[in-house]
Amino acid sequence: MSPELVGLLGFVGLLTLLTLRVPVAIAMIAVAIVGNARIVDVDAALARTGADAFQGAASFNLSVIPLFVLMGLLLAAAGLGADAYRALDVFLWRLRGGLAVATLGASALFASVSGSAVASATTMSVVAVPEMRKFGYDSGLSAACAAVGGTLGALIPPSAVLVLYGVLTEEPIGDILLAGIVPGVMTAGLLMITAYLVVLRRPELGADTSTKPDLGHLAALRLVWPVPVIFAISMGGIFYGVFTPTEAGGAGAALALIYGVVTRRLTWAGFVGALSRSVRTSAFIFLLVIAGKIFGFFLSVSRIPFTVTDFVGGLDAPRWLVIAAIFVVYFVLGALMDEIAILIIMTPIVYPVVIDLGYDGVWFGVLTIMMLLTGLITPPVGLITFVVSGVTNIELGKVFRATFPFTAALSLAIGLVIAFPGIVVWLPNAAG
Amino acid sequence: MLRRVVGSIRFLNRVGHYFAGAALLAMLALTVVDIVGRSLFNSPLSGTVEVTPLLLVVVVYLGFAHAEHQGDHVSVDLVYTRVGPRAQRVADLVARSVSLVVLGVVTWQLWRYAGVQEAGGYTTAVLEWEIHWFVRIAALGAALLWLATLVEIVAVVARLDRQVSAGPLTPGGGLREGSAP
Repeated sequence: MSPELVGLLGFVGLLTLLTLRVPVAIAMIAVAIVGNARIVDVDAALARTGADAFQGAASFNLSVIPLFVLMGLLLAAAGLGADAYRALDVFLWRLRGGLAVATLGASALFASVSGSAVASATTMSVVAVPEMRKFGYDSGLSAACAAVGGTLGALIPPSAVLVLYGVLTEEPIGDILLAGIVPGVMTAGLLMITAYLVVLRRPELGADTSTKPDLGHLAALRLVWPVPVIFAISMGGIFYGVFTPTEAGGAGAALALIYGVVTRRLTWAGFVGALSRSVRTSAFIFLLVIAGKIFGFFLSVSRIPFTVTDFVGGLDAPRWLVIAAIFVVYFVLGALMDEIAILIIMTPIVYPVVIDLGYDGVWFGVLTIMMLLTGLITPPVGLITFVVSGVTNIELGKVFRATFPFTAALSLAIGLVIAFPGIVVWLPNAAG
Repeated sequence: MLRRVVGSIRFLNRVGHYFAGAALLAMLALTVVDIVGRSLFNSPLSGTVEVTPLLLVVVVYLGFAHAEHQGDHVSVDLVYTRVGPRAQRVADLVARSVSLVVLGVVTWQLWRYAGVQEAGGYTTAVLEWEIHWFVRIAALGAALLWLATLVEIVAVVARLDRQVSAGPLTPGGGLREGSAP
């Protein structure tokens, strides 16, 4: 049996195991061990598994992930997400659909100090959704704003998935993180405009009763000052080459902790909860990372990535068509599994193809994350939508329907990034 | 009796989880001391770069088992939610059995790899910490994850707690919140 055929059968096996609801990481390891044993030999396959299981976690570059996650969860426990929302409401309450716009804006602010999409989405579900409903906003729209806003947590750095892409492709992680900033802000803007237009077109979804917040503009700014400060120190440190990404994560998490302790807003229970959540979230991510390391070796001995690259290169298809096809594949896979699993399984296959076509690896990283995020809110899997629906008790179908206009906005953002790669690569290129 | 065994293993893994949390704090402290030492006193902490990955191993591997008890897994629900409760229980058992086999192999091979590291006398470059100890911690974590998986199978079969066999109403069996950074 040729290695390529074993590789192909491996994918069939993977899908079968997934259908039986074997956890994605376990299914990947199972297929990789059997496949490696078939292509190489049994003992080498087993030994490789042990080495990769250790090396997959013992990575300096990946150590930034738990730190980024901890930073976001500590700040969430200290109530910063709620503050961001209150502050934006002060500036936006007169606007039609102002609370919907404020929810998305607050999500973007929170995303700039949080490495996790789910942390952002959960925070906004708790903080913003009840407020929006109190003022008569449609429940589906309220939840959709929290869900869509949460996706910004993965795009605007710090972001665990951006780091993961960097490690998988060996692109510089600092560059990848910086590259997320401009597209992240742009996407946030597009989403906010979308929310405004949705309410403008269908006023019954929004509210005509909003009250003047009891905060002044200055007081509102005082509420959110930690956001720009922490962001500037951690991302600025990377930009000016003062920090490695891991140090940026450490500095960010330490500042989050200091902020929580000094302002006395972080309780002991909140601290323990954030720490425990960070460990669980990291354990979950790293099980996939380790599986990805083992599965990656199987992919390379099966020669699947080379075969695919050769095949696509031989097609002589226009470059944009290949990117569009990748988008379709990611979108379909988004209906099957969550974004980290897709990232880990598909990046080793897709990345060489894209580089072979002459695209920039950092640019494609941000594009990948944007494509995966669209899947995060789209049915039937739409992980974040599930989380928000679970937290808010708003019916899932209702939330999914309300996310459609935002999916369109995300697709527009993706189109812009494809048409104007400078949106992504400008900032990392300017970095010192 | 069974309930007590299951309870104590869950407790054991919660303890492991605390160690993982402590390792994460240690990682944070190490990074901060290194930054402060370097920028203020011009003396970086030597060995930070080699210790951090080892601490990460502790965070990750000792964090696994508790996450398993909490059900932080990602799985695919395309077919699962469209079949009856009995088929779901069968699928659950098949999936968890595959997990047991795979985790058993991983644990075994990690232990073997630890032996290789020890025999080769591999240490970190600056502090000369013996790496095999950390591989053994990883093997221990994998073994605890194996145990946690087994316990959750027993809990399903013996119907010890209700939420484990929750039906299609909880997508992913409520297994989703720990995901998606």
